[in-house]
Amino acid sequence: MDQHSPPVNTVAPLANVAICVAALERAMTRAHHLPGMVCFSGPSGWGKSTAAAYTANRYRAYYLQCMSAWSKKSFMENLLRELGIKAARTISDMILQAGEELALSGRPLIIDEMQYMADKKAVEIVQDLYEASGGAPMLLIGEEQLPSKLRKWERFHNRMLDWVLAQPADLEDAKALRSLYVKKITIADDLMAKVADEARGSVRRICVNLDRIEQEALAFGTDHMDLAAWGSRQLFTGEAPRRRV
Amino acid sequence: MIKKTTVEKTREAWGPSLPDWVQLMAENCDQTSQASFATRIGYSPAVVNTVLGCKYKGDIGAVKQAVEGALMHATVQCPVYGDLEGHHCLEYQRRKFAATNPTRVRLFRACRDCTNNRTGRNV
Repeated sequence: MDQHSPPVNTVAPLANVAICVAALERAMTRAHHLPGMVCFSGPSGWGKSTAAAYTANRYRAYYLQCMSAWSKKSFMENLLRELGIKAARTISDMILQAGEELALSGRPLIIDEMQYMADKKAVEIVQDLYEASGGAPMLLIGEEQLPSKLRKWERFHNRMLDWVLAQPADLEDAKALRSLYVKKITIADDLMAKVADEARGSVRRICVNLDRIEQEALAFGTDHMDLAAWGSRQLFTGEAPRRRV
Repeated sequence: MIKKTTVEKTREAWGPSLPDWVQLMAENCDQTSQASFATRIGYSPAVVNTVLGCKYKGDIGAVKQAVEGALMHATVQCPVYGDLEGHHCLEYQRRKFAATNPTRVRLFRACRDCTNNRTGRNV
């Protein structure tokens, strides 16, 4: 290809990316007598969805991110939109359509924000879909309480091949994010240790802080920032400020 | 009478100017079928057939990108995905807007003013 733009790499190789890839791979390469659903859960901001987007591209998975406003019907309508099929009229027909497409294409399905479907008591629709597709590999992603929420549906709960937990972002992850996202300045390792510590596992908070440090350094007119130069300035901890009058 | 292979027919149609990627495409069609190869690169069987017959009237550069992406793993630099195989790039460009996942929304926005966009769609 005659492209002259610099190479882009948009996802940092964090531990959770590897965990997510391995989870879907386990469902895809399982023996035929085993169930094919894997659950990947962890707190908000730990990089599950970014890992899912990477995994979806790597395995050509269909990737659906649920929304809080979805009903069973809108779940199916959006799934069919993602599959590129014009939706039939009833939910049961839509399940057959989607099941057929998953079975024929052999491609896996990733359902993100699955806790919304659990809250709506619409978990069984995923089970229907799993059965209709003849056991298409599925990766269900949700927040920390998802496994316990799913316990309410025993038949669903015991169809799971594995439960995988997201890992908190550590210093290594923070350094990987630094090399991907911080281009204009250098940030010393001692300050990175503070960033990783205050983020309490959240990839999202690390990213916010790396950007904050970069902006501060540029405003200050320097291209290097370390713990001493950062001084007593605050990092973003996720806590909203309290007004002191 | 011996039936001619797709490769033979393609050689006759293109003559000495047969590009490598069309040759590869013809070989692949012999192994599978023109219809299944068309599905693989995201085009209709008619497009595959007319390209092989040197009669395609559309954007042949886009077909080339799709074939090279599928058969030679030729990638483009995607602002969302980084390295992205050519036929998948074209597939994503053609997609309508749908908020089914965040990547799809990002792609929709990125494709609109991307230098890789050949469809001119959604711009």
